[in-house]
Amino acid sequence: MGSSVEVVELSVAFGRTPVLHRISLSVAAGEFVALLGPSGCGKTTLLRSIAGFVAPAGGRILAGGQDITQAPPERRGAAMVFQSYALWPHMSVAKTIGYGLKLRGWDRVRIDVKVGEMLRLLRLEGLGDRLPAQLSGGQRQRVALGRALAVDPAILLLDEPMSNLDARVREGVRHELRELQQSLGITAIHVTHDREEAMILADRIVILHEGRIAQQGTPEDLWARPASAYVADFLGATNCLPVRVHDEMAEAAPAEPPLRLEPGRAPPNGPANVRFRPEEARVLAPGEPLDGLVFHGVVALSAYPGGRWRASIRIGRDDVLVDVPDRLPEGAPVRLGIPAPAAHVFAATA
Amino acid sequence: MLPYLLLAPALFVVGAFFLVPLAFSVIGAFEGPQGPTFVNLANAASLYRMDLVFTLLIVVASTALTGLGAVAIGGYLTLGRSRTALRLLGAMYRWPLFIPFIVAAQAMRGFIGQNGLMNNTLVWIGLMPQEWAQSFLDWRGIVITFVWKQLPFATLLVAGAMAALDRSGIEAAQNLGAGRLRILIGIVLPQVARNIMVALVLSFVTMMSVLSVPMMISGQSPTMLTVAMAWRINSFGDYGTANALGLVSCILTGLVAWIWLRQAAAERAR
Repeated sequence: MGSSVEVVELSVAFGRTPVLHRISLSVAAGEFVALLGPSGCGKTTLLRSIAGFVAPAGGRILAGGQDITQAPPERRGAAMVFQSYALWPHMSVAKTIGYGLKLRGWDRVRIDVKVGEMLRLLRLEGLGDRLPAQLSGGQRQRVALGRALAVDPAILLLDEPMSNLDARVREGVRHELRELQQSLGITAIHVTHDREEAMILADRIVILHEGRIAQQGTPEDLWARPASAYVADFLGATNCLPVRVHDEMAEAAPAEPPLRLEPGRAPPNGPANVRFRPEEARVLAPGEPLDGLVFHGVVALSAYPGGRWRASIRIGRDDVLVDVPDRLPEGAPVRLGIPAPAAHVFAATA
Repeated sequence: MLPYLLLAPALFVVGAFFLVPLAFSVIGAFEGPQGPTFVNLANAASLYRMDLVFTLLIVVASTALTGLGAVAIGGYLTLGRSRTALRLLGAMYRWPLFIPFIVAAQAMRGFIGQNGLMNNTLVWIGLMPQEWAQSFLDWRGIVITFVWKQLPFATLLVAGAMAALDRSGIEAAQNLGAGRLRILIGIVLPQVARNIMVALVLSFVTMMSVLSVPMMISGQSPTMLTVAMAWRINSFGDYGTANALGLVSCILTGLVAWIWLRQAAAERAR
C-alpha cells in the first residue's frame, strides 16, 4: 500500500542559483501525481529531493507522516525509475530485479519466486538471464520498473521514464503503468514534460514554472480552467490574440457581440489576450451566431497533417492555427469563432 | 608506399632503441666466452633463487596493496559525502606521482628508519615507547615506498574510470537501500574491473624494474633482481648472468601481461 508524501515550503539551490522556491505539495496515499513543466522548471529537482539525492536549503519532506528531510536515499522507502533506466551493464535482468530484495536479506528461493512474479507482471518471461545490452528500449524500461516495484515500495518516483521510448511503444506503456499503479495501490510521482502523458497517467497534475507551482488540479480541471497564460500555453492553448476587457466583458472584432467572462476569472479592465487551442476554434458561416469570441481574418495557408485540415489564419498582425474539416482557399476572408469554454482570457501582462 | 614511409621513423625508434637491445640482452643470456651456454641461467638460478622469490613476493604484495588503496581512494572519491574530505583527497592523492622513485626512496629513509620521523613522532606524542622503535628499512620499507609511489598512478586510472560511470546507476542502487560499501563492491567494481587490471599490470611491470628503491631502502640480502643485476655488472662485469636475470624478469612481466590479455579477450568475447 502506498504512503502519503508531504512537501512543506521546500527550497533548493545549486550554488547560488535558487531552483525551487518554497514549494508545498501534498500527495495522498495511492495517488498518481504528475509534475509537469518544460526543462529547467525544477520538476526533476523536486523529485530528486524527495528521493534524497538533492539536499534542500530549507523546508521539510514527509513520507507517511515521518520527516525524511535528512534521511539518506536508502532509508526513504521510495523507489525511483530513472530517465536513463540506470541498469547495471554487468548484471542480468533477474539479478537486477532481485537486487533490492537481496539487500533486504531475502533468501534465494523467495527472491526467485518474487523475480519470477515481476517478470510475468512486466511480460519479461524468458529474459531473466539477459544483460541490459541485449534488451530493447521498452524491455529495459520494464526492467527498471521491475527493479523498483520488486521491493514493494510505498512511493514510486518516475523521472521521465518514457522519454527514451519511441512514440508507438510509449502509448502502450502509459496504460500499462497506470494499470499497474492502480492495482498495486502505490503512491506515484511522475516527472514529465509531455502534456499528454501527464493527462493520461495522473490523478492530479502539478505544473511547475521557474521553481514554483504554477497550478495544480485534475487533468480536466487544468484543461478547462488554466490559471495563467503560461499554464494555458503549456496545455496546448498556443494561439494568442489581443482583446479588450471592459466590466468582465471581452471584446474581439468591433462588429461582433462581446463575450461575458466567467465571474472571478475575468482580468481587470484594459488590454488582454485570449488563448485557445487549434482544435477548439471554428470557422463560422456568414451570420452564424456564437456564444464566444469572434475575429475577422483571412486564410494565410492550409496544410493537411492527416484527418483534418490545419489553417493558418491572419488576424491583424497575428497568425493563429485552426483545425477545420475542409480545405480553406488561401486569401479567403473568414470569421473565426472561439466558443466561450475554449476562450481563456488573461491580462496582457500576465 | 607513403603509409610505410610515414611509419618508418616510429618503427626505427622502436626497433633501434627497444627491440635490438632487448634481443642483445636475450642473446647475451645464452652467451659465454666459449660460445652458446646455459651457464648464465644456471648461475642466475643457483645464486639468486632467493632474490627471485623475494622480488616476486614484494612486487605481488605491493601490487595488491596498491590495488586496494586505489579502490579505496577511488571509491571514496566516487561515493564519499563529505565535501571537504573529497576536495582534500582529490587534490592530494596525485602528489607522489610527480616525485621520482629515487627521491621517494631517499625521503622514505628519513621517514621510516629507526630514528626516522615516523618513530620519533610516535614516541614524542606518546603513542609508542622508545624501546619499540624499529627500522622499517627492509622488505617492508620497499613495499611501503612502492605502494606510496604507485598508488597515485593506479588511483588516477581507477578513479577516472569510476568517475566516468553513469551516476544514476549508483543512485539506483542507493535508492534500493544499498550502503556505500555494497555499492562499491557490487555495482562500481564490476564495471571498472578492466581498468583496475590495467592499473595493476602497469604497476607490476614498473615496480619490477625499479633499482633505486630496493638499493636505497634495503641493502641486505636477499634483495630484488634489479639490485642483483646491477651488482653483477658493476662488481664483476658479468653481463651474462645479468642478462639471464633480465630475461627472467622479462618472462615474469610477460607472463602477467599475457594473463591479463587473455582475461580481457575472454571478457570481450562474452
